[in-house]
Amino acid sequence: MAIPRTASIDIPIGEGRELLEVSRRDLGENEDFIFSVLNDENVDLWVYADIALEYWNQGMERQFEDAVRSGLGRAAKAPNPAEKRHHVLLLNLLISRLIEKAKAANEETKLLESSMMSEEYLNEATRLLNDVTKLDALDMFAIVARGNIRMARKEFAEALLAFEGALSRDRHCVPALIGEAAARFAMGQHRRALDGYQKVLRLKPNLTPDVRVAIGICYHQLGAVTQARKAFTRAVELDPSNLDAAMLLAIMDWNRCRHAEQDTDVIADMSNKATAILAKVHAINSRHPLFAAQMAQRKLLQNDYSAAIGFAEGALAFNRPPKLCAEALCCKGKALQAQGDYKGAYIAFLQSVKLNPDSLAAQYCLATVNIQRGDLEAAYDGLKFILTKEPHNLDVLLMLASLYTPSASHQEKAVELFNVALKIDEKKELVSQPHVLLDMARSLERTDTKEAFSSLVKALKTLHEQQQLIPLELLNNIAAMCFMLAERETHTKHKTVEEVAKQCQDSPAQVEDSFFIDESHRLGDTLFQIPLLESSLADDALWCSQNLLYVANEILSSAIARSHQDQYAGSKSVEHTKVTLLYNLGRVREALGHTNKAEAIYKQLAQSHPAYLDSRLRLGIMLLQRREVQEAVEIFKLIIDTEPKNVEARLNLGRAYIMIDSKVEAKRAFDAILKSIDPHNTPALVGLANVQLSLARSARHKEKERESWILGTHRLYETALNYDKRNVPAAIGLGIVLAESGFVAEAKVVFNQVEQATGNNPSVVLNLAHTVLSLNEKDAIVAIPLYEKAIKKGYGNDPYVWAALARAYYILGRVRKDDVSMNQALRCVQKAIRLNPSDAAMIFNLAVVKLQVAGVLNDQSIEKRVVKTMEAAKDGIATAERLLTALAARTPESRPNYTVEHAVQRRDYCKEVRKLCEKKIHETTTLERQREERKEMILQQQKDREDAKRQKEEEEKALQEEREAKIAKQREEDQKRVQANEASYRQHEEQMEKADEERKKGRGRGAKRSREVLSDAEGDESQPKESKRKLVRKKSGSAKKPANGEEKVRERGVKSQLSAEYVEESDEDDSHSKNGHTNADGEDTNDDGNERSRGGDRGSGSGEDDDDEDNIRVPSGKIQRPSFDDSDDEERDPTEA
Amino acid sequence: MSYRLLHSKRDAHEDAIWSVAWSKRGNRILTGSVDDTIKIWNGDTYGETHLLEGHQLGVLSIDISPDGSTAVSTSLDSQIRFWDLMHHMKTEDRTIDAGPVEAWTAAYSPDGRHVATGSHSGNVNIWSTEEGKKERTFETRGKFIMSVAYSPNGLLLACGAENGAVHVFDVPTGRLLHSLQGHSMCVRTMTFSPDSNLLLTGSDDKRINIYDVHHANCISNLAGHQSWILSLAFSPDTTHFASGSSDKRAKIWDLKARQCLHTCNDHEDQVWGVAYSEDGSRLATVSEDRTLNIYQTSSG
Repeated sequence: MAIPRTASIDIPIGEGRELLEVSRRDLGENEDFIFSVLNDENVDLWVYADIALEYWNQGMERQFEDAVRSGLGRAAKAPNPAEKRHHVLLLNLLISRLIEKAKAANEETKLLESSMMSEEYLNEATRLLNDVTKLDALDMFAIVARGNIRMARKEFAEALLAFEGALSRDRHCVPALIGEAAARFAMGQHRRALDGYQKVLRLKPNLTPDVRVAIGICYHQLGAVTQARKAFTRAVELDPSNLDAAMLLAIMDWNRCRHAEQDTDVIADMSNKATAILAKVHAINSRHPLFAAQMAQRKLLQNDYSAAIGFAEGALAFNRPPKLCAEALCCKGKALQAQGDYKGAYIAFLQSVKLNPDSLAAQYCLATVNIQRGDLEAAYDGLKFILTKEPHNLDVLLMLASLYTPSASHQEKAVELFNVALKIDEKKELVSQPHVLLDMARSLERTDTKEAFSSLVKALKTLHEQQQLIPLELLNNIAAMCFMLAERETHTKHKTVEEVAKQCQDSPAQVEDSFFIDESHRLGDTLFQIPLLESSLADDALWCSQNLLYVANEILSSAIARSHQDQYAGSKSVEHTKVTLLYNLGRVREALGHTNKAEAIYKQLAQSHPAYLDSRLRLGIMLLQRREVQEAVEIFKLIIDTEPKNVEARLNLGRAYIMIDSKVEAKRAFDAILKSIDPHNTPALVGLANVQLSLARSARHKEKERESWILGTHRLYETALNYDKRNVPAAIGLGIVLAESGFVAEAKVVFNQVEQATGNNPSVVLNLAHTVLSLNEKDAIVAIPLYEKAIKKGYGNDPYVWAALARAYYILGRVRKDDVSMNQALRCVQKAIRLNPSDAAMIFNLAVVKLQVAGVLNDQSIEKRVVKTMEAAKDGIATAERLLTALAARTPESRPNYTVEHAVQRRDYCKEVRKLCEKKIHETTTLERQREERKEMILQQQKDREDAKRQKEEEEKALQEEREAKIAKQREEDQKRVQANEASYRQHEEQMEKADEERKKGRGRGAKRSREVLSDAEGDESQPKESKRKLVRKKSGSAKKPANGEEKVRERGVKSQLSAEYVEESDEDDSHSKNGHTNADGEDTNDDGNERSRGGDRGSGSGEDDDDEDNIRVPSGKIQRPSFDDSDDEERDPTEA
Repeated sequence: MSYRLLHSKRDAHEDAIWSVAWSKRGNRILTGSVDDTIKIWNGDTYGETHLLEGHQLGVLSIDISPDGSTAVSTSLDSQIRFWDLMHHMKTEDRTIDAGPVEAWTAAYSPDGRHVATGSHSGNVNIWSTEEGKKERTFETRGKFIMSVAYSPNGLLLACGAENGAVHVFDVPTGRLLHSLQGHSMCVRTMTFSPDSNLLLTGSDDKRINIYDVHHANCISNLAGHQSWILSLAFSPDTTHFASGSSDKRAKIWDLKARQCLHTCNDHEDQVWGVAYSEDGSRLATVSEDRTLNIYQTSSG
């Protein structure tokens, strides 16, 4: 720009080229004149430029712009290719001006208008730029300006391209270099930006604004603090009024103060320095954005929230670097959050995150404020986002895990996160923090209660070791967990935890030594429970229901004792917690069997906290268990009056009504729940179904009514199962309905499935046994172990089940003609009677079974019978007869639940059985006598035979000896003869030789022959012996056979006679198994009571548990009553009495 | 004071043992079982000495006469039988045929001349031991009488019914003195204190009630068992009493403190009977699990 810098400007005007001299100083004063000249006359373009620049230098921006614009106007009017250079210059000047204005507009306020204005400026600049390119496509300034426009529009990549284009033309173009560096910086390429700035510094060391500040920032971003500091210091030295540099220096100092581990002097020095700088900056320009942002942070740290917000807003007034704004917004948000303005904070953080999405700090803040606002989903997302960036950030991991913990659907994730955290946190510092442990426990509560329990114990231990105040809630939760675990645990082990307790504490706390809640004997501060808890967890032998309850009791008692100590007095919720603790203590004591203490606690609670309905509810349930139904009903009604939507109370009311057989009221109670509170309440559905089932049973004579009830019941059970597939009572109910409607096989399938699914449910086993038996009586052998299992699993007290078992044995005994089974049946009936002696039908059964012991023996084949057992059975007939006689004699007025006529029949039948029995005994005795005789005979024969044999042997022996003696004698004779021959041999050698030889031969032959004869004789003798033996055998066989045949014929006769009796009987039995389905009303309701009361002792403090327990509760699982008796339904049904 | 298991006789009977009695004189333990038999055990060595057969069905209850010479037993076979403990034999001639469930549990009067039994009709029948005849009947017009007890001074007779009702009769006049409130479920067992002032009752409601018989009020009720109370026995020195329950446990209680001192956890099934030795130093328990256990109860 080669415009001569003279004192005045000579303006050549018009064609004549006359010179108008204008003093540069007077430009401002002569403004009007000059502009009239400039606008009206044909002035060279360079004049406009010169005047404009002069205005600019004098700080008169408007006039500068006007001058440029009028110059451009002139250029448009009278284009002159010679003046192209100046035209471009003018255009560039205006473009720069517009960009500056746009930036300023952007910066000043955030109003929509100004941003629109800025956009307008930029648009105009672009237009002008196009003009420039038309004039001179290669103008450096235009290219740079293009880059600047891009920068102003925050299109950094494009801007960078433009700057690089300019630099490719001129490697030392300073504006392009600065632009490139700025673009790189904005894009985060700090090192390359640094290079660019350093180049600028080399080329133009005195450029304003000082490029050193930019270099310092780059260094700082790159982590080179010393270099950054040096750059800032130099900038301040060169220009003490460089506020940016000063501020940055102050911030650096201050940050070092906050984080440095230097000695306090240095820190004090630094902070003083920083404060001094801040003061200076404040003095010069109190609205400097950096200063404001810094002050905002300082105020935030000083908890001066309103001031912090003020400063933050001051910083935000300049909209320049988004990161700074983001930070300022963060500050503001934090301040607002601290003041409790979550909405404001939320907006601030949200803006901050928008401005700088990579700032994890802002994300974290946003997440926290989301948590506070209750927008958990957003918080999850925020935290998850942070985790994707920093997957090992423990704080965030734990925070997210804790967030997940309370929601059931996310608990698995929480567990996962905790596991990750556990893995990362090798030192176990963070994860051993009590609150983390507590959260872990909560997350595990549903999936792994035992693990959760152990986390809680760990938390307790840590708190205790850190000597912190142990929250009563923690103790309560541990105890509740113990209680829950105890409810689930079915093992009974002999090792008791009390011994451990004694070891842990010198004076063992006696559970049973106080009637009412006596807190004083327990010292809250001796935390002997910790080792107690740990040993219970560690030792499997201690892990049983009773011990857990004991531990729960200990903990709760000590927690209550603690609650009276002063240290808890200040805590707000202590009253509430105390109530919970007491209630839970009541539950534990109830479960331990200390019902009196539990009742006392509940009563106390009901009095002191009338609104705490749970304790009243438990009182009602306890009354129900003691069959004080009326009182229980009163309590439940009271609860319902206070809180009409109390489902538990209504459920129990229904159960109470079932107990006293008020079907209509019970139905109403369950209906109320389903209609007005919760149509999906499965316990209510099941309860209603049970009532309808009993209504169906009582309507058995009205076929239509019964059918509709049955259908309704079936529907209800199915609905319940739809809502809750694992609802055992509903499944059992369904099975029962099926069985009652005659689909016994289907019912069996149902029970089989449920039995496989539950394994330990006695009611299912019982019903399964019923179905097995009623499907096929031959399966008694299968049913018996099922019944026995049911008895073992919890029906040991139930006379009905014993009776059912007896019936199964009875059937088995009769089918197999097995007196052992029959005797078992006898024992079982007796046990049933022992438990419930007032059931006269059972006495009748007893008599029948007793009689049948003899009957079965009569029926046995004669070989099997033993006189002794038969005699005993015969004696038993007398007993049976006596019982039956007495039963037969009872007046109909006493409403016996058996038929008197049948008793009479049976009594008379006793006589027959006895007669038969006597006969059989006689037979058996004679048979046994015969057998004895035969045995003796056989023995005798055997003996005889043996004697004979021995005799023969002796004879033989004698014979043998004789023979041998003979032979010896012969040999001797021979020898003698030989000797004699030899003696005479020499004399009569030739003479006697022939004769001697002949004689010798003859003798040898003779001896041989006699031997043969002997052996023959022996053979002859042995053969008849054998045949004789065979004969004997045949004889005994034939002797036996006719007897046997006789016996069999007779037996058959007897059998047919007996089986006639039996048929009659089994017919009866059949008919019973048929109508057995319908005749169990009276007893069923009783049993319902038992079930209900069993269902009653349940659950820990929380209502959910109660529900769970309810689901396990067994319904009136009776299909049929075992009946060997022939009584009529009507007479037996006490409910109709 | 130490409580420990001194002796445990497994399979003391073939099946569940339903009753036990420890004689005041002669130191014998008698057990009755559903296997129809009664066994006599030596009170010191706990060896089985005799087997008494005669009942045709399970033995429901046994009581020993105050002089220790005879025992009475009731059975499901509806007979009341007397047993000569001197000669260890049954006395067939004295057997009473009471009728089915007409004689549920039997209790000797303190003078040994009578035996009281409860019946299904709600009556308590008093049988003369010498004549084997029904002498008197106390009527409650109520439900099945499950338990009866004579006061040791012989003046009172208490009975407990199926529905939880407890009645106290004046023996000389036969008047119903009190109907005691407190139980609403079956009262299966009861016993008077040795001084005849207190009556203990055990019920299916899992509780043991202590009544002052003279004022007819319930002094206390004790909870601790988790199922029915099946049997009760007072220690001779009146300081303790023992209870057996369906929850498979026997408990020893302190009367004054009204609290459980010890729980015997050794049985595997319901404890049908408990009985103190004459000096109160030992306790015999019998159970459905066929076991007879002897516990040391106190130094006494």
